[in-house]
Amino acid sequence: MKLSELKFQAPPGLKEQTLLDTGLIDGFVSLASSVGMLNVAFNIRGVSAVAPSETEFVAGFEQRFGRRVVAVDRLPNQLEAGVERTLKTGRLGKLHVDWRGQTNFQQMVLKAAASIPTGEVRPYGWIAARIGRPTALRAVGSALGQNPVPVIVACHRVVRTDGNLGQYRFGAAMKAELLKAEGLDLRPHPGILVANRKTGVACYPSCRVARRIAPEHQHWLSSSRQAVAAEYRACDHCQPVFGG
Amino acid sequence: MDDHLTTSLALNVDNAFPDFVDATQHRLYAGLRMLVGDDAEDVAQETYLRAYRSLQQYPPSRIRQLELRPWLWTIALNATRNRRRTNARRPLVLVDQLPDTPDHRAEPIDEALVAAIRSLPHAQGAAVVLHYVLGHTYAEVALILDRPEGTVKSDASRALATLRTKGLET
Repeated sequence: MKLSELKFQAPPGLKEQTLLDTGLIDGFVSLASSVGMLNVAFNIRGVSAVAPSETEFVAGFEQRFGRRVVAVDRLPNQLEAGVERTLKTGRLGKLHVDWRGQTNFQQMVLKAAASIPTGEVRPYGWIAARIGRPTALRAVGSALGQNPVPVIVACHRVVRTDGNLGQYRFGAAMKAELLKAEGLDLRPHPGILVANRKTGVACYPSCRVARRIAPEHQHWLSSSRQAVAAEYRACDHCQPVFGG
Repeated sequence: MDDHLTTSLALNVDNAFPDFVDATQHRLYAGLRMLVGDDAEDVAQETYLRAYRSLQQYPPSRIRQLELRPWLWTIALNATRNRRRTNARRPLVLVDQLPDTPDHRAEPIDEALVAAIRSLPHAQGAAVVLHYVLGHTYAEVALILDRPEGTVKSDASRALATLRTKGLET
């Protein structure tokens, strides 16, 4: 055989892998979670998108982010353990997220949501207060609604002040399922805050401090004004907003 | 085609880079397959990643002046040299011990010829692959390897002579 006759075709995966390496396209895998299979997309910056596997994932991704996304066998090493841990524990931890395309405000909202402990919920107003924009309730809601990485960044832990679960991108049923899987008691509470008569501390009902209040010391409150009037202190753990 | 590619890369690296990979991947892979064997895919990936990072940093005026294919090969051969250096510190697998599996990705190939090319010194192997297999002119090979044209020519003919003494038709 002559030298000039030696011919090779580049393997079919070379171009895709090259574009993944450079971050020009994203890859995605399907992973099991407490609410069924999820598609998790990633690029060199981190996790870029999450959606239930039955959604029109590829088309939706390309339309939203303007990049191609291709199915791959497994997550890259630097993300695999982190994604698994986050799906198992519900904590974002140090997992990298691709925040491009999110405004500073949206990022602050999502990072505040990610700080809510697994199995607990906070009202929209808590996020608003937390990021120093106490009146921006609508904007908080819409930032959560556009969360590119739901489940991984736990926007499902933000609910309405009256304890109603509120809306979710993938339906209220999935929000309830996620919270139930985390061990949250979904039954309605007698109030929006619960105080401990003995310690004088008021909490959101799902707060782990609240769950330890003995029934005889529980004082259920229907507004934060009541908490102020009764001179209760805000719990250090869940930091309820005593504004209005 | 290269003119068109350099123009679009200069305009927007991210948009044009997939076309650049399309236009260069088969010849890059073919050459690397001969120089580094089974590591070809890894080295090709590394080459493109380095190329992309450079393109991102170059001003458009510099991209417009690039001779894309020789430039890519300069990067590829640097990556190859590093790879050979790393592999030299690892135990070698003798060619005879390699499993006799057909390469499903490739056209029919002459494994003996490829093995012989791989055993050549780096400069000789690179010169013979770039000139005789991929058809670059000696002037381009000299540019890629950053060596005088005369040296490149004599490297290539020394390599050919070695391959012939091994009874390999070239």
